[in-house]
Amino acid sequence: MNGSVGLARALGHVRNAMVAFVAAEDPSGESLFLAAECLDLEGLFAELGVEPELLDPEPDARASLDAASHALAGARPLVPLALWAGLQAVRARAPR
Amino acid sequence: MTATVGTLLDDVHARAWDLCSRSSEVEEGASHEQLAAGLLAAWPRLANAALRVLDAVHVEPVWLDDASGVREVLRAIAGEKSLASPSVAGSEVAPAGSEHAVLAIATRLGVIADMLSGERAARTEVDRVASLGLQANTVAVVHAVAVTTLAALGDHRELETARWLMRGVLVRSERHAMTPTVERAGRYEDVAAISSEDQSLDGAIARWLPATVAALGSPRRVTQSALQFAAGDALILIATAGTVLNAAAQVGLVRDDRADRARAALVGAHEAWRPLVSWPGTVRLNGVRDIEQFEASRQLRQVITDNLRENRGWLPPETLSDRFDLGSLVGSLRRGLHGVGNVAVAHFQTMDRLVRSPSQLWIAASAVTQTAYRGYATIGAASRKGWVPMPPGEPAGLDLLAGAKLALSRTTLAVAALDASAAASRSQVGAGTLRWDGGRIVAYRADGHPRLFETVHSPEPAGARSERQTPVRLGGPDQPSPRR
Repeated sequence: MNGSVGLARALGHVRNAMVAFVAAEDPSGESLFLAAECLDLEGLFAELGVEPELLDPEPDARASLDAASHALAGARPLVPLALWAGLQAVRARAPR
Repeated sequence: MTATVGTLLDDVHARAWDLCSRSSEVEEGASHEQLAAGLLAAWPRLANAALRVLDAVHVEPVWLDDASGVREVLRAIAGEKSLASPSVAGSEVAPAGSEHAVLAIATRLGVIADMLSGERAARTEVDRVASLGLQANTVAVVHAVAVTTLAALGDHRELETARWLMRGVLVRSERHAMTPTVERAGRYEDVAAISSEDQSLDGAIARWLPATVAALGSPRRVTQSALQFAAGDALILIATAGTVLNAAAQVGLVRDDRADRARAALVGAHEAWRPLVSWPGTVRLNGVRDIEQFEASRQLRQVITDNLRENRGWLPPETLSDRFDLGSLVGSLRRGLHGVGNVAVAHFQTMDRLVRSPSQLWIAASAVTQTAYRGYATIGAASRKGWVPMPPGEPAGLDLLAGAKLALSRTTLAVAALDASAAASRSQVGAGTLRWDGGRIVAYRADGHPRLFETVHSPEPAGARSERQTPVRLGGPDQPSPRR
């Protein structure tokens, strides 16, 4: 996969995850904080000048994050470690 | 601990109470004349400070009448030079105790006035009730000091002017001093002196608010992520306010009906902000993220997570109640929601500018709905999955603007509802003598009860010779310390 396409796709998935987190009915409030973490990630993508690819949403936020991780892994040479670490931290917190 | 108008009022009332108690036993080595001279010397400053508090919150002109009599007499005292050096035999050396006690009260009232000086003018019913409560809490202290002073003045001929002034204060202030504590509570008690260095929730909010408003307000710095961050933080603060409100209602700090109204308003605001976090995938406003806003947002979330959450959920009400002073915490969240209100205004104004001005937002070329704008360039961009400047009147942009407007109006309602919950939850009034009520001084008129302060009853205008004085009777407070 072309590296910049991989980044654009990963950002698209992160966006979908964020939308899913915001839409979730979650009395614990955890999904709100996860949505904010996704916004933090989007900020990192923006600093790299990545434009998001419009993608169909995955079944849930966790699946979108998994897909984003997969896309980033495919573009590994272009992915700053901070971005990778941030995404994995959000994945670790996201409920399956 | 964050100093608020409420905590300062608590302190002022406790000091006034102590002053009353001590004045019934003349200080060792001091005469009644010296006590009177000390009290009188401090009156101009007390009157000035009280006037400043009464004038601190701008209110509708028709409401001013409520305390106009008090203002008038306080102005007279503030300008009365003779009080500072009463010429009565035996008063040459004023005792430090009584004068310093009144000056300490005046200083704190001055601080309260300073803290309130940044408040917007009172316009709503909630503001009106809160300003009346603030007036009552301020004037009650003035009344207490006036009673004590009048008792100390005795019948010296030289002090007749002072006695007339004090009687004037008593007559005009009594009605305010008798206002039950339950009717005095209001949102102004939550106004706080917060340092941006503060590591508390108040401090985090104090840093977050200007950083967010600045990021949204600058045409150069505003980006999609700045708008999304603002909306996301608003969501989190609203959810936090709801959680703390529930806990406060559970322990009886907030009346059930007011808590229900505030809860419904918070849910409405929460629902309104949600779409503004997500944004439609087909609209963009690129740019470099604002580091200041980003850091402030992250700190705010961190402080909330560290203090109010555990195991990925909110702390249960019982735990919140054990760990925190819930009254203060609700106050912090009320201030926080006012901050969200400011952000909502900035967010709406920015969105309005972005949507109405040409070529500010970008839209996916394939998402352009208006036929007139589907020209060659747009179709070409769509085939490359590209983006084009958003044409005016695109539904995606108008939806964003409508969403921002809804968030602003719902947030305004939520702020008002949460402010209204600041009114006291229940009367602390007992069946017997009512003197120290909820940490505040209350004067009572009901016959048959011992009176805390000397009161003047007269069917004639203030200062009439037929005034009847009842003796001062002082007792200890029902509770040893202010309510907080």
